[in-house]
Amino acid sequence: MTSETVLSIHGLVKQFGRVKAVDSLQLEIASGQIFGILGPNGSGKTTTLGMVLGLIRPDRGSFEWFGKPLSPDVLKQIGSILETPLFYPYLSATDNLKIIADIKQTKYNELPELLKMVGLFERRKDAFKTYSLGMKQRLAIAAAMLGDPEVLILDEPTNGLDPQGIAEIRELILQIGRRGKTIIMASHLLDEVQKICTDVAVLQKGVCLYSGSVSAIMSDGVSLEISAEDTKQLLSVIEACEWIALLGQKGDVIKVNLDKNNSPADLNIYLVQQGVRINHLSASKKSLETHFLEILKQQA
Amino acid sequence: MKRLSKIAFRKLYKSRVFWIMLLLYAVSMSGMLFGVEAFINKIASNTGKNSPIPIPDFSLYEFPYIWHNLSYLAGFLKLFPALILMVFVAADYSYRTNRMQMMMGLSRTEYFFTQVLLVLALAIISALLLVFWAMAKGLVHSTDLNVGSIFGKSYFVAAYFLELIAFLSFALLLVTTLRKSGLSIIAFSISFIAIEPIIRVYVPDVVAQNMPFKRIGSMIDVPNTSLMQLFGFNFKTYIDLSDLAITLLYTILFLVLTYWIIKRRDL
Repeated sequence: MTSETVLSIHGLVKQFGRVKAVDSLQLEIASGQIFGILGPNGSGKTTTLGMVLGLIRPDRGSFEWFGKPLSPDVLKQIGSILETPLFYPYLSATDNLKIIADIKQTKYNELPELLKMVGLFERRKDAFKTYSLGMKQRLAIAAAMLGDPEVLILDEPTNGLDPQGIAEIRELILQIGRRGKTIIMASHLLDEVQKICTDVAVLQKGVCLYSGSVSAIMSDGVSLEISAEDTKQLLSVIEACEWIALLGQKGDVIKVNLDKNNSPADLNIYLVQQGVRINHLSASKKSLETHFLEILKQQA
Repeated sequence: MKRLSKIAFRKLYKSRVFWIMLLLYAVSMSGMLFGVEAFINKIASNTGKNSPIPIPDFSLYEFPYIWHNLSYLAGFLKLFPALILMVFVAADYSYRTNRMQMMMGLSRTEYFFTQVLLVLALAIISALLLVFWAMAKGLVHSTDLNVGSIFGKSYFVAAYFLELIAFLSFALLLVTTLRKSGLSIIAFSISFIAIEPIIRVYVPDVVAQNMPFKRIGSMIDVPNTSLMQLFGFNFKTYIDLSDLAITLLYTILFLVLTYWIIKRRDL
């Protein structure tokens, strides 16, 4: 996959009255990434997306898509969903998509395929207002996919959906991501970002607190649970090692933390070398939630 | 332009509300243009009974005067297309489909032109209705059927068309500013019926005469029928070029302001 830059944001600022919705935001999003923009409600996610889509005028700063300034032609390369699905309630799925196709100047013949992909083909002739929320959201994804755009922007794509709907949308996003499309997804659901995204930026009050790959954020601080036949021996071996930090003991189970340079496999090799026979080893990755809360705490 | 009209048309053609409103408009317009003579004649003959001077029989539907008469009458219903315009332009704001369309790559300029197309469509529909009834009634009721007489004053249709465009442009500006259909309709009606007339009372005559509704409305003056002459009125029987120019200027002003708002606004 090439790592050419899809979107670069330089010092974007937007102020609504006295509130700074977005403050000097810097971001680079490369081709092929599934990029999560994570932050609590009101952290400036939608405002940021609104600005890069030309819906909101930035007070300061600039951004480029594919190295070019924003234009209607660039927008036709980007499929997007912002917040709620926005369609004419009295028009059918097909008619609504035809309007979008006219705007994007693409042919109607890809409509059946898209409607099948999002599972709305059977209901394509029914008015949008008769759809469930999940169907509406799926139609929005179909609209975003029209014209086979290079980049997909999804703002809270699973908002308000039931668990089944959420699972369907996630599967759909991953499926699209596997086709090599770049996806930019805003969400306040950590779990969602963790499950879907390759990269993440954490926003709070319009400020970017962290930006990097999800695996990097997840790998610093793997905590492990170990137990061995001989607990005492295990404890002494662990205490002797520099890169293992003892976190605590719960019965026979010992909790440890590894430093960044060593993996659970390294621990296993070390213990075997030391003649410790373990009968339990499990890695409990800190969830993104823990990281997220830590990042937020650091700033406070 | 073809693409934009397709987009504008697709939004509306399956909306039942749109067709019902349009039908109601067409019916009331037809009713008015078709039935007005009987109505006026009834009043005239009633008045005639008590009048010391006999009121002559006259026809509204005589070529070429019919163009003036019907254009003037059709003007009374111009609130109707303004209503349709405001309802459907506001719909784009309340469904926020305009936001959707712009992020899908419809430029703000193109979006503005889809609105202008709706203004044009409504004005064309109205003008066609007017032409249809003028021709139908004129051909039935006129005795003089040479081409010069038939089309003699048909330029009143063009003036009516411009009057509507100007009027609808103001409606477009209001609804673009306010974004809510109910609010816009109320604001529009009040400014048309009350605000401007009240302002006209308090400002110098020159200003009053050039207020938008006044000037737009006075382009087609009250038809100078024999009945009116009888009462001693003397209205314009032609289209004044200065009226035309100022109406045109207002139209441009309204549209430029609308465009400016669309171009600048955060969605």
